[in-house]
Amino acid sequence: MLQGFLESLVGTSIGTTVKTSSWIFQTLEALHFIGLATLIGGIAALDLRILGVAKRLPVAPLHKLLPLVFIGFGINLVTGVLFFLSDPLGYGVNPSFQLKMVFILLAGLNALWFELKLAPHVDEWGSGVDASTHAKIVCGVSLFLWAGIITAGRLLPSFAALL
Amino acid sequence: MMLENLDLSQWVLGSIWGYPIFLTFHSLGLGLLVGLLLIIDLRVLGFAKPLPLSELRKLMPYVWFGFVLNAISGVVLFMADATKDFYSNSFRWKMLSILIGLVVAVTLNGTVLREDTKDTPPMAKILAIASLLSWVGAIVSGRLIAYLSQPF
Repeated sequence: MLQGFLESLVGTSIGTTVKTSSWIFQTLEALHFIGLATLIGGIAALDLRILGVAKRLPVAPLHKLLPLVFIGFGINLVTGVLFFLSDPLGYGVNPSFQLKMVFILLAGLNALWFELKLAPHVDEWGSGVDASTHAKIVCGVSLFLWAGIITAGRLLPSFAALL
Repeated sequence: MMLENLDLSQWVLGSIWGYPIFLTFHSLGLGLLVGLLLIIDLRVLGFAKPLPLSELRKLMPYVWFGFVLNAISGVVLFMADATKDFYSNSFRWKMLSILIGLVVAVTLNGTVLREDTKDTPPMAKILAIASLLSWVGAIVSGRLIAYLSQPF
């Protein structure tokens, strides 16, 4: 089923354009790294504060930087989909790509959990106030997953070389 | 170049895993270094004003950690490809961007981030913009090394 789905995505005009252009792929890669920094910056600042770094930072204004995280994620989603369309079969069967997608899904669910269960409390975590253990666990998991996502993404071409 | 003949350089270049492992450290460091500086730069530019600058300064050790991670992994990646990198214009642009970005970060750390003013002076904002541009420049020229370098 996966194979059939992947095959149906081969040869889209946009995918072929990305694949055959002499400059589009590289440009998308540069954007993917800029998106990475934007996304990770907002996430790392919030996660580190909740874990106890720079505790005099009130959590609420850090949490309000969420749109920045979405901008970074949006850039990487669009560029990432374009990478994928340039070679659906190659990416789809790559274990490092599959792991990256699972980690992104888990990071998304973890962030959703934060929004539903913990976001209502961010106003309580003002300057110098320790966040709850619950929040620390969620933010520790977040940092771990994003580090894993970067790692799986970077190792992806090496797995492709092995296949 | 002699650097390329070291055992480490040969392993990095020759094995399937050597190069990507150091690239992975380079990307994790990028996330910390540029990501956290972006937050600090945006605050200096006037976003998220309830965040005290002097407390954001406590994120700087993580920025320096990211920088050291990238300096070390960068040196190893350079060693594996020394001739190509050294004669690459993209590589020289990247080094220049990093130098500017580093001087700006040290300056921000030593001046603007020491004072808890809500509104930063224009000079501070110029530094923040210079910081953002230099790190974007470092990322873009870094990407180009892989594509524009002439093989020797």
